[in-house]
Amino acid sequence: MTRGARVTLSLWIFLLLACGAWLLRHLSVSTDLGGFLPPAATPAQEVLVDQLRAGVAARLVLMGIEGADSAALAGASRQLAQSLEASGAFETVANGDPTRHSREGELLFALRYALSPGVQAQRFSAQGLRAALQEELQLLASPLGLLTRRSLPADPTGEFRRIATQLGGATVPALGHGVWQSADGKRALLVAQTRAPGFDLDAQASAAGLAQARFAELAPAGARLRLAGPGLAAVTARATIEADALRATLISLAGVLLVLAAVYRSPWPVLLSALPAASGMLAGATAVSVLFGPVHGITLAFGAVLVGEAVDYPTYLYAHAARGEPLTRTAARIGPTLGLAILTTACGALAMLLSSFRGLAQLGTLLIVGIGVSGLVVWRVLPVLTPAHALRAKARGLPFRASPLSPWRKRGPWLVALAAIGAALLIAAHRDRLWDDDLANLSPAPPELKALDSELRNQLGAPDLRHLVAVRAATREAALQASERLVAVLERAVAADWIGGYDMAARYLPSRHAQEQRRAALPEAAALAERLQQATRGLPFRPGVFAPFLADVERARRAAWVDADTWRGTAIAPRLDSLLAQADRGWVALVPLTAVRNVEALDGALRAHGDDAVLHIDLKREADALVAGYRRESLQLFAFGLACIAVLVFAGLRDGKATLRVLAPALAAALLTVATLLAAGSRLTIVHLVALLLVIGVALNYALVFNRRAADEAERALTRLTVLAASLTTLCAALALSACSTPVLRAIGVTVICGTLYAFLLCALLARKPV
Amino acid sequence: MRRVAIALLLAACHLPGAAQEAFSLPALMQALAAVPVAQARFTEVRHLRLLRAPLELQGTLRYVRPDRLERRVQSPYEETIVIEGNRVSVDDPARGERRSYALASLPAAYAMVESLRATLAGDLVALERHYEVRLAGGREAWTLSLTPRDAGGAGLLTEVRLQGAAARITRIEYLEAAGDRTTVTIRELQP
Repeated sequence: MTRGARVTLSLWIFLLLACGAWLLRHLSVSTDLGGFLPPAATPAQEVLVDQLRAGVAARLVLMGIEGADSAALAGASRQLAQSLEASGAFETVANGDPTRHSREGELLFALRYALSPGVQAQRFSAQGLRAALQEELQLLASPLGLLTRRSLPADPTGEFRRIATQLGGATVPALGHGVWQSADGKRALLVAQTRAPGFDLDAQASAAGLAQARFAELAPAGARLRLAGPGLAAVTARATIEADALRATLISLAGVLLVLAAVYRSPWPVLLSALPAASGMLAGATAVSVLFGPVHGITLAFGAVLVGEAVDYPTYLYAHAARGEPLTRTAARIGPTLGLAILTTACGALAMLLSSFRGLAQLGTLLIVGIGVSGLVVWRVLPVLTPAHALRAKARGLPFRASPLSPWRKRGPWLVALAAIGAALLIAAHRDRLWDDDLANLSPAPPELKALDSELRNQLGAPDLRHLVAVRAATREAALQASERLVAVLERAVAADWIGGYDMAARYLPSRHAQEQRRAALPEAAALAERLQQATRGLPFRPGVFAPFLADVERARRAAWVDADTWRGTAIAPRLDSLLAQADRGWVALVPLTAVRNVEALDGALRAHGDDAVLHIDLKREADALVAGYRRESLQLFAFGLACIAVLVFAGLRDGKATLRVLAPALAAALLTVATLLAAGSRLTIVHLVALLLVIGVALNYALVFNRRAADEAERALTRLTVLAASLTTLCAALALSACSTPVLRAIGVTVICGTLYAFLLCALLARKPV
Repeated sequence: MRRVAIALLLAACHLPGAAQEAFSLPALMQALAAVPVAQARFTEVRHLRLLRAPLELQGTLRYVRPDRLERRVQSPYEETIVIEGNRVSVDDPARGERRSYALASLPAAYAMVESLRATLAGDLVALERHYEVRLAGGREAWTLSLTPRDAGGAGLLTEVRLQGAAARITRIEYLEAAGDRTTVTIRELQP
């Protein structure tokens, strides 16, 4: 072993040890889809990403108890709600039981003169009071009067009723035995909100585990608890991705080893072939971990593809080693082709590295570093490590002689052109349903969980939280005042049936300004008594009935102002937190809208309102736009990557015709792959684009190897063997991915399978000499 | 021993209702469930502690299977309440107002609505979801006593008593926790 070889080996071993040490200490895998997402570019997207990661919606846990009779379900619902609320892991647990939240009701009643928008001076004049009392009289006669009769002596102007109507406006599930149940009484329903944010998956997982454990303690025989919600979906997705990534890597490794064993018929080269891929994977993962922190599960799963491709490089080396030739000389001989193959793949990955989509940047890093390190190991390390006798038993060519493609080869260029044009036409025909920009389809949650989620949501009548109005202001008071000014617009929208309803922080926490105005509208005790006297004249109320009203108004005139602390410890506190939050610059008040039926009219009214700080956000539209934006960016980078590759191939080959012969099958393979995916009914996502870049890299490798000047028939036979072995190993990796349950991974697998098959066929058709 | 039994049997024969064939809750529900549409005039008298004199209302009631109930007040003011499925809407023509609520959001009202609607529907399951149900009397003069089960209804209503003959309801009495009470007298119209 020469001195140079020894230095190379020591460097390599040092690198592996360093990477291993780093990964042992720092590797953490994230599976949060939010972390895979690009940073927000607009204020609306900022709100969106925040909501996705940490908003109320992300903290919801929907629960259904099934498998017992209605009464037993109700009992279990009550016990579970109590147990979970006491556990401290949940901000709120709601099951519809009206006796559980009596504290909120009492507070709302006590604060009615500060909270009700109906508190105006006119309402407390003699005429105003008389009108109110006449209204109450009619209500007393109505069957609905039963509900308000008890509070009438203290609240003859119906302020509490006004507040309660506002708060309970949304649709509510039916009650069975005093708690929420589905209409058929077969499922008791609960909604909880975790204390931990939605992106804290460990906390989400432990909250779900806690719910199941507490339920197991109190469950009636046969009953079971089913959980759904965004947090749980993310937790499940993490488990799926981790299992998928591990399985895909193992399966692809096993498949690759089998293919190599068939080619080399000796254990040494098979084992040594795994070294570059393993070193590349280790170095790539370390690079991602150093640059980005947590490594995304999807990035790791891409490792399977990396293995499939990195294993091809030793194959080139070993296959091309002539009998008796030292491997170092073989390495020097095939070095330029190998280098070009690696550089072109890296070029494709470079495009991803530049993406502002963090997930793509991670993939790019993994590929560049992984492929680069694998190539170096093949070039410098393998020749030194491989024993001289190791390759004696290797196959010299394909086990069959005839090349089925020979009759077609003469018309090769025409066939490739025809196929490419056909594919391009098919893609053009699909151009308006080419892309899938729905963020939800990237979510790796299993479909059963998504189905349960939407079923529970339907039964609960939970708002889908798609539409929001965000009000931004410098101070909390200003944000509250701006939302209060918005009430008129929103009330008009409700009256016109553009929206079903809305919620806002100012309902629970009116601005100081509004509170002062309301307080000023309340008359002094003596004046109020006098006016009430006038108002009740001729009405059938018993004298003295309204004494509690007089006392409560007087108390309200002297009470402390309502502030955020007023609600501490009640179910309203978390609701308030979610509706009013301190942002980077100032405060944001969120106004969630339910049942939005006329977006244009609503947007028109909001524009006419003319407050720049008010922003209507359609979360789904924003999410789609966000994805579409990054898809467009990726497409540009993709084109940039292709251009780099073309320049690189030309620079390497210095021959226009040869360059064309190398590029054409790669591009045609990409076109055919897209056309096949579309014809099979899929739509393309960013993930498909990434996989296509890989396909192009693979196809270029084949084309480069096929177009090397071959000395004789023996070398041509070797080339055939090399490319076939390379295709098979890549296919192994892709097949492993296509069997995953994570949609993203499946998409990569299917794309690479199609691409590899096309690339092999087309390269064979266009090769310089018969193959 | 045998003599006692015979005496008891004879005594039982003189109780009203027992004279007729066995009359059970399911039989009553079955009879009620056979009526597709019922229409009636009602007079409602409500005694409230808040008021010096009772309130008296008149109007019409109309039930259409399976779950639509209309209560139209004609005097002393006009108001229509329509309950259909799980929503209740209140129409007040004098003020040109129309409001609609989900019944589930008003547990006490829900229980009250079901006392009449589920009885008219002959839906014992729905009735028993809200009340403990007891039947007394015979086919031509029965009394159905409903005691609210859950907290929502029980806080306000203590009992609902429906009286009827065959598949008709003739009188309803609502007894409330606060000592208030309402009596509704019903005269059926020909459908």
